[in-house]
Amino acid sequence: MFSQRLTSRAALALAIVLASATVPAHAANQQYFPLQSYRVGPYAAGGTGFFGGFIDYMQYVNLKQGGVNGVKLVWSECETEYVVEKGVECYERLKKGLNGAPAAATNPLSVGIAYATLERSTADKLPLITINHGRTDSTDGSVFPYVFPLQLNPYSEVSAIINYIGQQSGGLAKLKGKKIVTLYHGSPYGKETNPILTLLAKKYGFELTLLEVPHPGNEQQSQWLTIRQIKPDWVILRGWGVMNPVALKTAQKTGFPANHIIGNIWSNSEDDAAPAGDAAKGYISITTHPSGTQFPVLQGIKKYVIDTGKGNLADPKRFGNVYYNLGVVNGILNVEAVRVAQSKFGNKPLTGEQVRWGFEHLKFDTPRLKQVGAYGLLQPLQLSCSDHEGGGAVRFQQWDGSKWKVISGWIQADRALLRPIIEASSHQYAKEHGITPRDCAKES
Amino acid sequence: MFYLESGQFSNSYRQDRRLFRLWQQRWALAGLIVAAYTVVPWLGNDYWFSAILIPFLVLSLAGVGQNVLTGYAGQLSLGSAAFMAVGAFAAYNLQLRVSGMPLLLGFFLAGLCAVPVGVIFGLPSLRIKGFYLLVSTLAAQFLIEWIFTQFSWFSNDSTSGVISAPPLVVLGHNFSTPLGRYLLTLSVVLPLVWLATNLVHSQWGRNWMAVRDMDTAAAVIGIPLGRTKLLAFAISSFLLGVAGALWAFTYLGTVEPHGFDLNRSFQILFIIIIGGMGSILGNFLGAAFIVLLPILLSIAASAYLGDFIQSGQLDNLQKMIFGALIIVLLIKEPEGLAKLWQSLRAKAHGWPLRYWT
Repeated sequence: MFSQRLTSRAALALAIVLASATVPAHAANQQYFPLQSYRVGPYAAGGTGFFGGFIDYMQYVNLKQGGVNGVKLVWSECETEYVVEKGVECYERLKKGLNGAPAAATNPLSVGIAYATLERSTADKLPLITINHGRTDSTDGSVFPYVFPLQLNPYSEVSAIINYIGQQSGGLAKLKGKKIVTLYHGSPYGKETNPILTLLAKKYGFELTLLEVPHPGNEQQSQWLTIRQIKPDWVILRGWGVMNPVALKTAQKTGFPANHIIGNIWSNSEDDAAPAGDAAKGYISITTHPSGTQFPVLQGIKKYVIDTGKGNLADPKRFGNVYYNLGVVNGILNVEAVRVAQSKFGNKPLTGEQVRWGFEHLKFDTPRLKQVGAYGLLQPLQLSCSDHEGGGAVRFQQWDGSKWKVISGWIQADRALLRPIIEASSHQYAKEHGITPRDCAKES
Repeated sequence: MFYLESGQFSNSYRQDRRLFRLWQQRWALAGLIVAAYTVVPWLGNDYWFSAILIPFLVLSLAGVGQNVLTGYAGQLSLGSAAFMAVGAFAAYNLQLRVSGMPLLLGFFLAGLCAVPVGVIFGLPSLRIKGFYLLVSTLAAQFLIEWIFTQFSWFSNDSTSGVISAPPLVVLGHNFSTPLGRYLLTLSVVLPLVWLATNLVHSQWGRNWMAVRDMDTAAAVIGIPLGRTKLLAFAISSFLLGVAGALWAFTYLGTVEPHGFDLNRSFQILFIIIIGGMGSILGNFLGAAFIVLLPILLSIAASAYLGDFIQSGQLDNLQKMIFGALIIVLLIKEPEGLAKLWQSLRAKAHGWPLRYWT
């Protein structure tokens, strides 16, 4: 009895799914963005903010400009929960496009999913965008033609921090003899930049101490006592989640000033500083994009999307926070790539391969930044066949007790120094996988 | 009418003991295997191969490994994902550090690497049983995940701790396409399942079941308890190790310790509970249930409700439906999907008659 009912129901469900899969395809004038989003699970705060900003920016482009040169942007979401195999399933499900609208690029915002879909993306000729994260060596576009760690890779991140410290001390030459402690999260992510820091310490002659905080990092008494003994000039905080507010609180307890702690790219949101309360006052961190709503593009989104009730955020108070603005920045870069590609291939829906050309010719200078209303929000950047990062600059911001205040202009990483290390790694990958690097001199 | 036993007599003990006594069963199995190699590749597309069939096959194999230990030998374990991780990292390091290592041999050796780990964490089973053993195998889960994160040698000092699997080349043929990866997975899983099926019907398997049903009685009739239990741990972790290597190489193409966390162990335990403890077929049914149903729900939900409900809530809704289905299933059929299949088969014997003897 039960078995019969079950089978008939299963058949019904299957029929429903099959029926929905065979919806007649009508190739409208649309460009599709597959979104491997995560709105549930431990990373939901980041996912809802980032994808909220991304979606709101695309809505804004559709509502204000009627799409990109008349091509409407469409998207659909697939929940990954930040889990790798779900992300892979979503990638495979969405890569074909939506009702005939071709997919432009994927934006998983997850290192694990990016690694798992890296080779698939290359085989499927679909750009994989890993803004502010991802494989550092995928910066070398001659080996990774379809992977774009836009704006900032982890190596550039620490290099820019050291450059900032040098600037504060009155020149990089003054770094000699300074004491810098790096407090890092005990995970692959936390350890990733240690070799580069060691290299920079050797180059500039500062004294580097690397201290590990085991995951999750809610107990740091002994590390901060060590720091008190060392009496460093600066502490670089390479934290994640709960480790950040705990570090700030413990620093206060041991008497280390917060305005000499510099947080990295995952220690820079409102959620990292606010829980530490008073202890966070004066805390400095890097950012690739300031939070805030004063930028014209955010005002535009507010007018066309948020105020008309179409906003994607469940909690409108988060409008303009760090994660949301990263989503907006990501939207600006993706849409611009489509626009650039249209200038070569015509104002029509484009394939992933054509959009990739757009990414490689992406260029934001000051006039263009002002045009899209993102001056100060997005750094000037230019990509090329060999350089898939483009920017490599950060701004520094300081927590005033309730919000972030930007305290510096764009500080550039020493990318010429990092390039040979990146190339050594990417060529190693090319050798292991039998890839012949493209000759970027011949690309147009 | 079609599924009749009449006229099929066994002329020897050998024939009577064979796994598939009826010609209908043998033909159905042969047909299924042939279809998996011919019809499926012809009908399927990239999405089906990469997102559904490969994880289904790998998790089925992992289920077989867990079932040998839990379903047949009665030893509760929550360390299955850890043994998979050992297999995955062993396969990666063998490929990396031994030049000219053939891929399939690498998988085999990766399985062997998982064996001593499984046996070591199986040692407590000599003294403790049931939930207490479950907790001690949990230690494997945490310790091994920690080791792979802590010591970067295992991931070749890769800066991000996530490593890419090398290209899949067997005998000069590249299996890196979705179809190729499906065929490769199928060709590794089938022989191992065949091996496991024969094992559980051998003297070893009967020893395991005796230990499961009552270990005192088993000891009284002369079954060496310790050796039997450790053997179950060894075989189980071998199968799980190979499954882990497949998961990393043919499915994801990447290895990271977090991919083999406690949730994966639970997933595999649920596969055998839903599929049926002490059944080989149950692993396939359970894996299909665990892999397919959430995807089916997610596709159906986003097609019909996507416009009305937010994506995040939609996902929570699917979880509730999935959980409810599991509860209903386990109340209606506590012995799992395999039992359902058995009753279906029993009905088929008599069809179209109502009763038969």
